Amino acid sequence: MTQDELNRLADEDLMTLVGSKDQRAFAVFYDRHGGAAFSLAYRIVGDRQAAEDVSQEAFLSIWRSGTRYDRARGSVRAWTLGIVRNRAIDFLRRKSGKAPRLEFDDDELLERRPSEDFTDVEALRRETAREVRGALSTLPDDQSKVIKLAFFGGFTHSEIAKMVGEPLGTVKGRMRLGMEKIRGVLAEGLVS
Amino acid sequence: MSRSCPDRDEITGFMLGALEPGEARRTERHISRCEECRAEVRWLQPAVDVLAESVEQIEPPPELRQRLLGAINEEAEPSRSARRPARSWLGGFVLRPAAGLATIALLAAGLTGWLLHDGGGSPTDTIPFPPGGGMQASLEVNDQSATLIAHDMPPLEGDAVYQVWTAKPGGQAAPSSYFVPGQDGTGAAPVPEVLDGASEVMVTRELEPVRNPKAIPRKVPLLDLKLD
Ligand SMILES: [Zn+2]
Repeated sequence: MTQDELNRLADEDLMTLVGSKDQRAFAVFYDRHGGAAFSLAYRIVGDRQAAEDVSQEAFLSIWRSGTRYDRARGSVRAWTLGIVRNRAIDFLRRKSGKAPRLEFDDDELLERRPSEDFTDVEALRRETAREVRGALSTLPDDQSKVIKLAFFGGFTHSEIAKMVGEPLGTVKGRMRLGMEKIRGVLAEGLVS
Repeated sequence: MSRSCPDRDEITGFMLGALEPGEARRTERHISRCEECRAEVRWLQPAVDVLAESVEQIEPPPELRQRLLGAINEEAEPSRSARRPARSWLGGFVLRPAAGLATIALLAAGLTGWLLHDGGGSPTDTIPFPPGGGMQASLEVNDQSATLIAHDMPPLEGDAVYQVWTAKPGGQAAPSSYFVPGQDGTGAAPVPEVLDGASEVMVTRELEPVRNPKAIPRKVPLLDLKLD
């Protein structure tokens, strides 16, 4: 396969080649998602060196288990970023001396990938990050704050409740309302 | 949703990783069995996915790409001289469900002959690791023991150790023993898992010995030997 043909392959087909240990396919895969992965890792760990380490671990784990990607379970991008997030949060927890909350199980992550929404997510990606950031920025601060603490900080409901000095139930409710709003904005974006 | 279903707050918390470990496991178990809750998860998942995309995009350093491609290149081409030791090969073989009975019988006969011939012992097999970062190592295997011998290992500071990891075919790597090299840069560590079917032996540098038996390596191995 020429480099040009590789570059034109859909993510899902690329992953089939990655699963068969095709190094050129892996390089294309990295070139497509390495930036988003590194950016997410950096957002979570807040340090370039650590973000590099986390990204490297995540991509290596994908290289070693590439065959486990199943296209029925969601986009390659979301799957990859899910793995990066897990590793980054675990890095944070190790750094702060806490045991990782969950053993890594990338299969578990796969199970949770919805197949129906696959096209949604792919389309959204093309909708550009601007709109996505828009979805977060439309939230009231108290909702976006608890979401960010959970997703980018790796904190639990009760940890967040302590941090923001609000009752547990309030924190849980804000998190859900905020996420439902984001979901709503996404749905509107797709319709327009 | 039925009465036993976690409420939406819990499901949202689960998807954002905000539940306590016990809660998370219970919720996960429930979701795996409950179509209604799965539908809820499917509905919300795109919102979780876009959080990951919502961060400011920054350029990764080019060295990351180089290191990554270098690492997979090394993994893809294990040393051609690497041979799987006989005892370990049997261990791996027995694990393979597809193997026919006849083959097992043949193998057993062969092995018995070999054991008899050797009077129950076996010669020590030396299997070199692919070179990594100027370090040299080999695995010395006979039917009693497997030992990693490493040379030219950079000195360590504090409580740091060279941690040995092993993995069975298709399995997750798990911590084995560890070693601290002497002043001459030489170190040795027992790797009994090799006798039990492990097909990969790796070495990483860690700030302290890995004690959690469920831990997996977080770093690119400095040394990595695949036995096949
Ligand atoms: Zn349910």
